[in-house]
Amino acid sequence: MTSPTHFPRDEVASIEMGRSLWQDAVQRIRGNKVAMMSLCYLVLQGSLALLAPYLTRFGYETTDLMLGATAPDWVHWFGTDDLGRDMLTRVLYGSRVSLMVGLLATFVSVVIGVTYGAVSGYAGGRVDALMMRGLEILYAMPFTFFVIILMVLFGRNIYLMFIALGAVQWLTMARIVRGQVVSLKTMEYVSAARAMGVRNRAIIFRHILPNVLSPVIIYSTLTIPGVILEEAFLSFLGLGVQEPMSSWGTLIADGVTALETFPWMILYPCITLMLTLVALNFLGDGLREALDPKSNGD
Amino acid sequence: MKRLFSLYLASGLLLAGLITTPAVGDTASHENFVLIGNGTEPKGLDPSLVTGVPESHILDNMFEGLTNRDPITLQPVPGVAESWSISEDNKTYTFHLRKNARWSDGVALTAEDFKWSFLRALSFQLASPYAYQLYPIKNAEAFNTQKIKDPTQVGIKVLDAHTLQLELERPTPYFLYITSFHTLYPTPRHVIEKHPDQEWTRAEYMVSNGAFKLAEWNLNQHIKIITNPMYWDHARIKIAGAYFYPIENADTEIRNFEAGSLHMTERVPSMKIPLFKREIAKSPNSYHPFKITPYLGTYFFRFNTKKPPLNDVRVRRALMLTVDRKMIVEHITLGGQIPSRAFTPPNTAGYTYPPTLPETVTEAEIKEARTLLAQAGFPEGKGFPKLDLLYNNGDDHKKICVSVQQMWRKNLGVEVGLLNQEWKVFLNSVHMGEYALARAGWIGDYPDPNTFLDMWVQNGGNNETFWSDPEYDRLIDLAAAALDPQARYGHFREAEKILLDKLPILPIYTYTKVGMISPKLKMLDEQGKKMEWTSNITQQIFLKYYTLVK
Amino acid sequence: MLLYICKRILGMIPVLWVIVTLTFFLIRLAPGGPFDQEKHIPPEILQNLEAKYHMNEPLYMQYAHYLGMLAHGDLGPSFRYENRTVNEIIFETFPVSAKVGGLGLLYALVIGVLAGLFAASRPNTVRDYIPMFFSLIGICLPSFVIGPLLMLLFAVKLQWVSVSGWEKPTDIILPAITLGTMYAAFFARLTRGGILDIIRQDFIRTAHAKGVRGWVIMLRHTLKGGILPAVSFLGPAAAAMLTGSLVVETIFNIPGLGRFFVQSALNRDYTLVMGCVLFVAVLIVVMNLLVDIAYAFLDPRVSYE
Repeated sequence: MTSPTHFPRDEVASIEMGRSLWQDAVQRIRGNKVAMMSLCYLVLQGSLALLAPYLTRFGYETTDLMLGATAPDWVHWFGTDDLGRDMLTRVLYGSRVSLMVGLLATFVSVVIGVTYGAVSGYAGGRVDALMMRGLEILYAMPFTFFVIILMVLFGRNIYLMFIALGAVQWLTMARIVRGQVVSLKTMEYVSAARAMGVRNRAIIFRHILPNVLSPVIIYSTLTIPGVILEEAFLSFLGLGVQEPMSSWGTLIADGVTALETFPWMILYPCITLMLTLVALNFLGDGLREALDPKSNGD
Repeated sequence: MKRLFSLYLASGLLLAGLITTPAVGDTASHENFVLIGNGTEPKGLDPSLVTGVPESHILDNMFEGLTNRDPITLQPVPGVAESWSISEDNKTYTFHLRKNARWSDGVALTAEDFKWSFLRALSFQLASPYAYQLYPIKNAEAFNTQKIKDPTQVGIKVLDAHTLQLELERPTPYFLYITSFHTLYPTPRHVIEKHPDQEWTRAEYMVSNGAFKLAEWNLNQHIKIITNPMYWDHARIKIAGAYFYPIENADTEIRNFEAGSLHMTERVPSMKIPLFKREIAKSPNSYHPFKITPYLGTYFFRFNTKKPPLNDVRVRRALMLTVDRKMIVEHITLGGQIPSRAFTPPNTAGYTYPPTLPETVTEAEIKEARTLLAQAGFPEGKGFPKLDLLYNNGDDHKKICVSVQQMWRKNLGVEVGLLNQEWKVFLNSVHMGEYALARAGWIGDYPDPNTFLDMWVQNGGNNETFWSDPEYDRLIDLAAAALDPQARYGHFREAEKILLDKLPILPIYTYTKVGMISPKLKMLDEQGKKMEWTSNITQQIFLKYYTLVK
Repeated sequence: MLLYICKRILGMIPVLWVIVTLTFFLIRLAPGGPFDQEKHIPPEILQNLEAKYHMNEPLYMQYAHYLGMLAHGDLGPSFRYENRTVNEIIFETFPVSAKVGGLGLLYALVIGVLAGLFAASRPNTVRDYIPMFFSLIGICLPSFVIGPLLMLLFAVKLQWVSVSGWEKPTDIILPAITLGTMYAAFFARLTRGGILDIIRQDFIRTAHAKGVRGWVIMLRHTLKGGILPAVSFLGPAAAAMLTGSLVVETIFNIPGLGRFFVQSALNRDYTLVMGCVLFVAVLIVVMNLLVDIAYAFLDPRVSYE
């Protein structure tokens, strides 16, 4: 069909009209039912989080010590925790912080990680070596101290949490992207584009990035739950969510101590987290397929 | 393809090399060993140096001081000293050491050893954080802080190889308790000089003088002690030794107990307690391993009395009145803790301050608290600045603080923020006075009210509330100088009255210790008769009296 | 290639120096010190303690002192574990973590890559959905949930293995699975994605068109390029797994190195923190080097000159 000296059809097309790639993508994802359902679920989840105060008649902080931990019933759909607080309310409120942390910190890590990795891999040589050594230095820094010092210098602040989490997550992302780019840049169509005098920037954004999107999307959908759970550790160190406010991470961390006695305390936060993740993954898969310049030929 | 394959092979071999079975030395049977969950890895095993509870659990069984303690009442009983005499003025103690006292390597243990150990514990080179345990001895403090350099001025005198005389700064009624405290255990000069610094505490060198000696010490894995045949009371010992496991995760610990791999646990996760209580209620006559025993300590909050509006005693009292202590112990901590009615735990060496603080919050308390708050300028909590209640991670602190926050909101309309900090940051904040309200706990050093009351004097190292009262300081001084025990307790009572009037602190409950005790674990009384496992108020473990049944 | 490896190893020295310097000053910025404890220490004794550990000297002196020790390969005494040096602690505990991590990594790679291949072989069918669903569970359940669940089932209920500890050969199993599950899920998804990308490329289609058999294509072409993302992830993953995990080692009470990374920080055990950081830095540099060499094996177009 094709000999290696020819460009694949799509790449030629996208050199000529870079926009159509993204327009195609929107159309393709619209046609993907599972992805659209996932998107709907995520939107629903987000609006439930925003509307939480209007949806339940319990306060997330209202304790009822006499009641204590009760199993789910018609009053408390998700049961109550050992201080008698309504779990449904706490899961709803928790989704505010957790969704925000998951998405924002992952976004931060994608932006920094992809840029860093792409530049490093594409530049190669000394620049690459230097940038990779920089990455190794950051990898080795003690995260716990980083968090403690951030907190002491700037006080408790939810935005610091995104920085702290994003700052750690982008490192692996950068390594993955760089690995892909190093391999991609030797591809024939890239050399060809370069030979045709296409500028570096254009090559990176038009030819290389679309091709690293797949691992980036996969890795970032994998990062989101990691970040959501990591938030519990930050709260432990004093950065992050403070009691009585809840987050999925802290709910799961607290719930695990009640595994045998009050299992609903861990069950519902876990299920909610999992549903969100499933949706994110299907959406991610849909996105990947939609954005994949090669999937046209299928 | 070939290259790919060789890469796979190479990485496989690398991993296989790493894996092989865990090369663990100890597969020997644990027959007749007491298996103890000990919380966390000890910092060290030098009795002159350590300060923690896990360390003392081990050291109390490896060493013996001049005196020892009754395993239940904690009254002084003969240790290395067979007998002792106290001078008329209660300031000179003469100890007569056993002629057959020996180190576990067979070397004789003499009065010189004690003198050398005490001076070592006080030396600035060792820099022992617990050196102040020796301060009742004359000039000990001055020597420790290098105000005097001459060790002969310290009140420790060797009359002969088996007679030691200690001269005190002032009468100290609990001194015979101190002589059985681990900072005053003898340390083996002949070993320490050969293996200086902390090298001597390694399993291969360590020598001790108690009922057991160190056999193995694997970091974060276990510490194994075995019986010491050189110990004078060796014939009494019924067990082969003990394993101390540093299990930091409370859930893991209790699961180990349930699987039968522990005889005692350090704690019980509060989530499990309702389950055990139900089991006990179902069959009250059969043995249940869940045990609640009294513990000499108070859980409380500190007020920063420099910080307005907490500098107003009316505000502090209003906050104190509206914390429902009974609710906290019955629904959160669950371990039979006693709501604090005063600061010193009830029956501390016979001293009980009459119940003063309310146990629960009723209409009367709410009314009084609201009136006080209004008088202080905050009617219905209006205009009350947002203060933070500081706590550290761990145990039930979070739950307690969350519910207290709710109680104040409900009863007073006062909104308090919650602030949790990592342990060392927390300590630093409290120490620097960078807090408004902070949780705290105090475990008595020795069973005497003094350990609970002398901390609140002006500039007391553990005060940290910035509160002081000259009359209070005067009463504590009077108590320290008092010879008559009744008069002494009288001074303490007057002092505690001031403390509870001024409330620089908010006492919440008296600690208890909750733990699991295997039905296999029994104790022996003085006559060697078996009896049920019994605890003591400082939660010391006396393996010497323990035995295991099938 | 050999020259490249030598260069990279020499390049380690400045990297380590930067790490040492940054960490040395960073950790002393955090409030609280190694001697802070709940019961107050009289100031005179605190002074003595600080003198004992050279902490009363100016910071640059301490730094010079530390570099001097490092030059002799000495990481200093631990503040928290009084009778052990940092060298001994790392030497004693790393093998434990490496065994658990190694087995966990093997498990994660085998399960993860196989599940990824399996799923990619028939994308968007039941064969794809089932392994991918399990990988989602693996990602969602953090190790602090999986660990207790495994413990309850296999140790408390079935009593096949001990609850915790490091006394019997079987004590490695549950921790390794707990540690490896999340990584297995990562590997599965990265492999699947990578393979699907490659399958669509032209040379694979060519091979198909030429009538080469499916599994031969899979092994010869697809796998090689397709596991590239997984290989990139392998570097940091291997470093993280071999140095152990705080959560897994605390839950199963394993005497490994992993728990010191966080605990030494919480204890402000400065020398142990530095030791851990340095150790993990060396490991990361070496792992990344191995991964970069693996790139060259997997993709002949990548060259290091």
